[in-house]
Amino acid sequence: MTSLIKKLHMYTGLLNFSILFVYGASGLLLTAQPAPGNRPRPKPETRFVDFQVPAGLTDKQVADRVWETLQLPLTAPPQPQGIRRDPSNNLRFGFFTPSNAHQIVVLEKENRLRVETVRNDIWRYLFALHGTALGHPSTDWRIQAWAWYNEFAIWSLIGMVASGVYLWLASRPGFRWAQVSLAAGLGIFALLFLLTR
Amino acid sequence: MHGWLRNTHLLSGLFFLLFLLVYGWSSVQMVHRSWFNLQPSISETRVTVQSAVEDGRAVARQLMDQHGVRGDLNQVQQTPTGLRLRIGRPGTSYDIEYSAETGEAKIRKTVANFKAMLNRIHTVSGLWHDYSLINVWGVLVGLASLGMFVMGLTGIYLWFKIHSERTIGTILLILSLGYSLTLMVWMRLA
Repeated sequence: MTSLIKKLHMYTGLLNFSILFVYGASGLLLTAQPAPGNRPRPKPETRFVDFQVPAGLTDKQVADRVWETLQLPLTAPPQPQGIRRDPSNNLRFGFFTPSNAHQIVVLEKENRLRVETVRNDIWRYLFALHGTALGHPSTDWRIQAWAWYNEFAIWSLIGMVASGVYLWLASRPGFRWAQVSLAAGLGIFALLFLLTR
Repeated sequence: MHGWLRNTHLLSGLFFLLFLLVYGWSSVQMVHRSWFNLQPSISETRVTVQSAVEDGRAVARQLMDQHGVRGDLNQVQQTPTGLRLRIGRPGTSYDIEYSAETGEAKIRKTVANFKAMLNRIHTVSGLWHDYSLINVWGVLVGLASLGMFVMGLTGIYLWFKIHSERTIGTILLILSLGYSLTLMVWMRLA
């Protein structure tokens, strides 16, 4: 039994080696980044695309047409809750991928779109990947393939925690430092949990 | 060397056990929201603080000192009658409507249930908060993230030292890296 669990623990770890690094990098980014108001704002790259709004469409239908026109890779049609009007009554929405954030303004009177693209740096890219999970609106197969890998990794993480505890208890439960380490981790977590609830 | 790395793998795994479990489980909750009941409990109270205060931080300070409100001041907004504030910590948030004329503050308190609290912990991060206990969470998030690297690298070493597992392990590692790195590079270049 122990031998089987050990194999499962090891094989699961090997299958998830890279995504565990993605999770680790995401946590480090969040720890190191400054307060929201002090974060550097990357300058967007702006371009204009000709676009005539067809008559008789709702805002959502217009946004869908824009998505079809721009054909931005890895994106999905915008969600209704993400579509809004700005103070100039222009339609605004965004398309988001792990690599890029595209903000669209439909300049209806000018018959064109303003497309502002911000490219994530590598850390933000890894952070976005860590949150790309099942339920992501994009139908692109690469996004879906990553989302399934992420799903596998989430369950694997839980499984590795459980199998790791089993392997410890099966091999050297009396190891004092291990007991201290577990008690310290549980104690700190429980205390903070209660204090910040 | 082998014994030291084996202990490092075990000790870091046990220290971060609950953190990893919470990250894993809360991820399941966030991805499969419909499987869980994450409804918070909500209550409302009205308290009186000093009137004619225009500074949101001053109102927040009075609420913290005199009425037990705790957390970061996350939002301050002017309204026609006074101020709207949001104060929060991982498990609890307060939405406050302050009337400058009467000094009354209407406090809507939202307390996450146990499962929702796990989700909030998942998203706590950073070392810049006014509420210092959130910074402690931030430090632990950083340490747990480093722990991921430590466990991954020591795990690779421990696997490689088991000669009988090298063949199948290498195949699994190549499959895993091939799949994930291909997707990562492809999506980055898209």
